[in-house]
Amino acid sequence: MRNETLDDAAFSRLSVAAQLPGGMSRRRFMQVAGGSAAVAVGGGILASGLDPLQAFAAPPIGPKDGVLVIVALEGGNDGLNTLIPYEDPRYYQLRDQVSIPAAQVLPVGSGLGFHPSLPKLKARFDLGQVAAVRGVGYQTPDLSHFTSMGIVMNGWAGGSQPGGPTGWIGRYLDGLPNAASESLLAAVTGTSVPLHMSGSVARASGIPLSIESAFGVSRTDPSEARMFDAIAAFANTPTNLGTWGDTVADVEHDALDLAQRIQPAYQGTFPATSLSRQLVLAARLINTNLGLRVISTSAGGFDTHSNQAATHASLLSDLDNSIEGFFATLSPKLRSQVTIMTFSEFGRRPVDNATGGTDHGTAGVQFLIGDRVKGGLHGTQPSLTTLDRYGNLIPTVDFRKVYATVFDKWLAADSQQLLSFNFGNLDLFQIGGPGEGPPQTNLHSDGRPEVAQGTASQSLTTGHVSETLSPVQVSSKRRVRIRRTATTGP
Amino acid sequence: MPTSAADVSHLLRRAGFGGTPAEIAALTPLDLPAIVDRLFDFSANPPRTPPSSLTDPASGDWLRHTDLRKWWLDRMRTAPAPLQEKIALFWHGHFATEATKVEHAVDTWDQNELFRTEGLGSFESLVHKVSLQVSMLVYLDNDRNYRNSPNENFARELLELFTLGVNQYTQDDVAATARAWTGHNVDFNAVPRRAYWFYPERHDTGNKTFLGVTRNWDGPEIITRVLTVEPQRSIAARFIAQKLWTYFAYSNPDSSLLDALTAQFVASSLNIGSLVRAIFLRPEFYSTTARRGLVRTPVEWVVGVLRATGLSAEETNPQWWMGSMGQQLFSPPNVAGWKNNAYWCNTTSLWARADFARNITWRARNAGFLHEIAQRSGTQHVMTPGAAIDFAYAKFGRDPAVEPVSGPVRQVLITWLQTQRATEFAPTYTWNLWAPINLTTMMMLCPDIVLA
Repeated sequence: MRNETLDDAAFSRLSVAAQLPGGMSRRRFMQVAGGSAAVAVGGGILASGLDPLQAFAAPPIGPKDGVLVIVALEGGNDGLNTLIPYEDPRYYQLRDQVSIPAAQVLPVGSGLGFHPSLPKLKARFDLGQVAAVRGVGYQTPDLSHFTSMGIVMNGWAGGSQPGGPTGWIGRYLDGLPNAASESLLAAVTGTSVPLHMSGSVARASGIPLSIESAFGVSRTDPSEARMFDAIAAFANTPTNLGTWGDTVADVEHDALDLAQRIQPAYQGTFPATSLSRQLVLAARLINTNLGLRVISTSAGGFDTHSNQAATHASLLSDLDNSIEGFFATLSPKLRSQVTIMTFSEFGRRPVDNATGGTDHGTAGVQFLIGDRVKGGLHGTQPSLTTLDRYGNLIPTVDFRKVYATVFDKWLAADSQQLLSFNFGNLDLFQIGGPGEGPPQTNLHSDGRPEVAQGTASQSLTTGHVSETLSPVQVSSKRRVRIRRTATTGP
Repeated sequence: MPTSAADVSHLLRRAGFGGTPAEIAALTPLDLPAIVDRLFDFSANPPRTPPSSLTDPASGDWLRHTDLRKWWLDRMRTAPAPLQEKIALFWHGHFATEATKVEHAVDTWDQNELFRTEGLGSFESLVHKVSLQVSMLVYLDNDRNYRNSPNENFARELLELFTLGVNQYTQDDVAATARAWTGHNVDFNAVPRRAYWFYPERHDTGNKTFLGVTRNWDGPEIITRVLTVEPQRSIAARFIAQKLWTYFAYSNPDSSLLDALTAQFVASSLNIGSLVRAIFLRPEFYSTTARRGLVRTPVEWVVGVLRATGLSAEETNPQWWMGSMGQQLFSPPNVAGWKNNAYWCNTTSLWARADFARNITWRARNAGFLHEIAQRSGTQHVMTPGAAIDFAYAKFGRDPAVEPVSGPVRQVLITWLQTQRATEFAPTYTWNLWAPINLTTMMMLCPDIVLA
């Protein structure tokens, strides 16, 4: 009889965070490996401000790293009214209430055009910076929001996963160095971490939308600052409470550390809407270069069963402005390393309903936006005459083929391992993108300090590059969480 | 033979949500089996009245679930015999169902009550009953499991997550189980509300081969077969024993310990109470490994700090933070329920705990919580820094005189209090209560208090 049950396996994976070779605590490991100067003893680590080398565990974005910003359009975005087949008379036959008049459509070729609320995206498309993937969906569609979102966020082709489903980005994070310790490799704007950002070990950090709601961010009150420092100091030495006592102390230290590190991203004003705020925050976090590889944002309200015309126009306008706000905020030095990707759980039914809206459908359009995407129309526009038995579009591109392309061509990962199947790639990125080779701009040319100095940083950087090539390999290095430390005393 | 206060304190934390000094003192004269017997006596628990919104037609199910969350947290906080709630919490994670999919809070309530009333009874009976409740039928889609299009969702989880564990059956067994459960659906038009209903015309009466036996299996017979016939009965017993040990003591118990627990569980015909009693009587339960083996789940931690401060969930709304902490009642992350330990050790979760701690600190302060540590005689504090910190530990159920606490962390707190007091008194003395306010927050985040 097998002793290892589901939970044994799940627990042992989840316990990786706190276990080091030989049962050493992380602090003891640091004392051995990094020298005593590496460990702040006595005074609070935050008391004298942050040592820039005393970084959170995620290495900064390297020159070959692609950064992905995800925009979830929750509720089921109407693909047919986002990228509109305005030259197909069938479109107007099916939609006598919610169709967009041909004269208002913003043409992008092949008889298709953007919704009139997307003028900025259209302009960007004309510059070759928008890849529109048509007909994205999956076989035997499930029209439940719950189920369909689960499928789309999961993206695993290999059947049920022991320990429950993991997210497609989560699995990618699982394979990065230091993944287990939640090293700010990925973030969600907001406090709840959705499935696509959760792996079996790694989980994205939730970054609050306002500075007030993060414990440890504001240090204006001296008594409060003293309290933060004391809590952070729980981690100065082993607690003598065992692995989990040490881990709790470490994570509290890290949360306070992180609060200070994200603090600059809240400087300055924010735009009004939730999505625009999230994307500006995302851009500022990338500019801060904490090492974030993936940031997920979300906008709700796309479940337009009724009165779609006004609602959808407003939502797409918000999306249009938010994307523009993101690129306006993003440092020009980083532009060639960042791609935005939209997704939704499903598209909507071609025929409109009796209440001026559309019901749950299947395939939709997915956008990838950035300097290094291969702009234009990709995939095949689904037929409006040959529909499935529920009157829905028949998808032409498996959503996981888009993920596979992002993994292989943008995140330098192995899609076959992360999706459990070889879906092949679409031609969505320019040659020489981060997934393939050195980009045209050098991240280190903007005056930021080189990080690859000193042994700890060196090994981290090297390990980072080599290990991303085999993302699901669990190396011993990954079990070790190394706080970047100065090689000379503070 | 009396039992040590340290053991009693540990037991009350794990079997419930922590004991008061008076509760601990009342039990220490007894021997351990007698103390454990007391844990199983629920006669002192008051009758249960669900929140009024549950049956108020004007309320929506979102509000009802919210009220139910607060209601349950307060029940955990106040029940004199909290093992009943602790075991219900375990089964909620084991037979996970989720509020937005179940939708109707009355069905969530029915399941919650089942876990409370039968959570320490026959495991076989519990599996039968939970499977036929609307909450489970809807959550795992057996309400849509028809002869012509079998849905395997419930069938798979019945075998994998509820009884046997992964890889103890084949895909053919899953398919056979799904067919056996066809027709066990929900009558959505039932009065006064939707209810389980067996539709013979939707049920597959053909022969199915389950665990090598070909016959016309019916859904509930699958459960009986798995839980009464070897070797599956022992496999299931071990699976449940391992999970319960992990819940109450620590992860990855030794094989020999699991053998013993499994044997006892099987000998009791899978009586859950017998197994839990055996767990509390094992010497390993009182080992250092056990004492340091678990991080408090968000639910345990919230209930613990509410108990310490005397505040209620009703007034503090912990559900506003508990999703970010990683454990919102009635919203498990997926069908596999919640994991443990490392699952709560991330910055997002700790931030949420800290935000909640800071929020309720102000309410506690208004009630004078920990104000004793600021009392003074002339310019001198009545309590030394060490005494003040130990006083705070005791308030949170970790009296250093009863159980050792982390020496280094205690020293950090003492050093902090010395500095804080010096700052508050010098150079010109002004009266304020920053020390008790901030110490309230700090104690809630102190590793000794965050551990279970």
